[in-house]
Amino acid sequence: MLEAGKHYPRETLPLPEIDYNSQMYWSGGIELDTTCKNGIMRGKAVGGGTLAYQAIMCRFDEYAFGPWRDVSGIQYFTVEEMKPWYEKAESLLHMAPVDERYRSECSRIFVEGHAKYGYQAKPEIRAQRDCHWEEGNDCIMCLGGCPIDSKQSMPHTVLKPALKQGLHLMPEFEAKRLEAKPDGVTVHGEYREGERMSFFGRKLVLAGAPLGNTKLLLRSGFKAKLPALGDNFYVHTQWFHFGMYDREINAHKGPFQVYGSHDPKLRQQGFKLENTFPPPAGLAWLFPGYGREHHATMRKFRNLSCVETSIRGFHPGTLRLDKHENLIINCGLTDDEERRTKVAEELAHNILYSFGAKQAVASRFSICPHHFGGLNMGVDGAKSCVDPEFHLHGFRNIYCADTSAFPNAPGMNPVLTILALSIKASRQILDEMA
Amino acid sequence: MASKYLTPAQLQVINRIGDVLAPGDGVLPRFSETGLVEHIDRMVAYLPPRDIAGLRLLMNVLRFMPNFVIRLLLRLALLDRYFPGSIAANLRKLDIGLRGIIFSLYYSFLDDPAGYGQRIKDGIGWDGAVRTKPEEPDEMPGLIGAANPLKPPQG
Repeated sequence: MLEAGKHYPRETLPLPEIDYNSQMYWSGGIELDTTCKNGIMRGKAVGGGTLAYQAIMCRFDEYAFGPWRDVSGIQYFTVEEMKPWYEKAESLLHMAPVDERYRSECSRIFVEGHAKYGYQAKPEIRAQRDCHWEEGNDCIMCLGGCPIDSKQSMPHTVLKPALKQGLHLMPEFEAKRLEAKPDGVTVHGEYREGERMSFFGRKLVLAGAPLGNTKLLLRSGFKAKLPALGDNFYVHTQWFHFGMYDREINAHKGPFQVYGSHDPKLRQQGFKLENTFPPPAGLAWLFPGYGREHHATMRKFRNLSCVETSIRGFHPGTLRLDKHENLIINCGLTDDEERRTKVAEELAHNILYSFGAKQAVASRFSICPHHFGGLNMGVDGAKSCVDPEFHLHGFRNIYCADTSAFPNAPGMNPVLTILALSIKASRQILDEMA
Repeated sequence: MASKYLTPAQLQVINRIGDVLAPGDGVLPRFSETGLVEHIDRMVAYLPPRDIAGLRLLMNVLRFMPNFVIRLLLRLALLDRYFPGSIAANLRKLDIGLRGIIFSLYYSFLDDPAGYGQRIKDGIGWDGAVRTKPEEPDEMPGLIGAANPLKPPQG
């Protein structure tokens, strides 16, 4: 296993926000799209984004799988056929909703606000255990990794047993180029401060997510054989909406992202609302304004509640390289996404106002921790990159099952499906090697 | 002031921008007063080379500009929607980058001898915490060390 990031032991997690944002994400925190409205976040650490985001677990529904089947032609993308793979994935994690005793005022506004406008909000199923909120723990402190191993991040769930069974892991190695040969694949890259190294394997599984995988394959000249490489790139744009109250809300305390909108009407409209809150530097960055007005807001941060809107991108963007081999990210967002962003914003602000907010404000920018495609799955090699058995079209030794292979944006939290597809792909690889 | 990536003159510009974004209010300190700019390498060291070059260039240009130009630039960045595509995108990039640097330094509650990180934390009343201590020892550092194919040969 080759990983560009470092391993961060729980005793020495980079806890200050400036440190975990800089060290645990590519490009020092975010990578901007061509409009500079959307900041892509992708983890760079052993465990990747699961150190921060291994939280909300959900099986995809027909609203996700239907468009996947339509565009990919792959018929196993159904709720029923994916069920056994989800069950295997769920068996690896401890998953549960947060006990209602720990529901905060921010959560109450979220849930009752949904009800007031005729929508359903339900507890999210979260991958965590023994968070000990009764001892005063706040999950917002675990965005740079969980210091008590409560979050079911990849290192503590699937990586640890794999290491015990003999997995070799090379942190701080950045893959730069691939060479596919009939008997295997060579990965050329750099270790730490630029020491060049190469590794050869019979099989290669790409797991660098859309930006990482696409960049690596484009640099390695795969576009000639994979014409769809770098196409069909999608995001969920996530906007924060803050309500300022006359009373303390304390949205930063206790459990995190406890509720989400689970409503077919919102699902059909292509957006979701979540009950979340950013840490201080993130709040200052996202909240519009500066100067003394900004200080006044930050000194009243306890009076802020927050609703996050997550907008499903329906239109494909592209990932390309410039002449210096830097990624050019086009999220493919259109007036339709803008319109749905406004509809979601209106609902979020109505929820905040209906429980006494004096002011409701949208974040200046969206962040995109969910990104998909670039190596989309499909049966047609002219329109896709990964076949239904997870090989790159025309390359029997190279596999991919992460979000870069998703045919389009599901509009749901993707972690459980990444795990389920990975288990399905690993079964495929083992069968082929047997 | 010492940085591996920015000159003292460039750091002075960061301080000037910081004083516009976080001027202090009697309880919270003015950005330049805190000296937190000293920690800027904790962020810049992880930026791609082209972003570091862009930051240096911007600081070199702003170095010769009076403060009202910095204020004007930040004000224009808030009006990005009124500008055509590429100008708007560059204004947003400026806003995202400068806010990111200043507010990350200011609100990360960094340890500093003068105690400004703590003063800012107390000033906004931040009390997020994980109080529990893990019961089991962490196996992962040992497992990952042993799994590295470059590990020194045993014995």
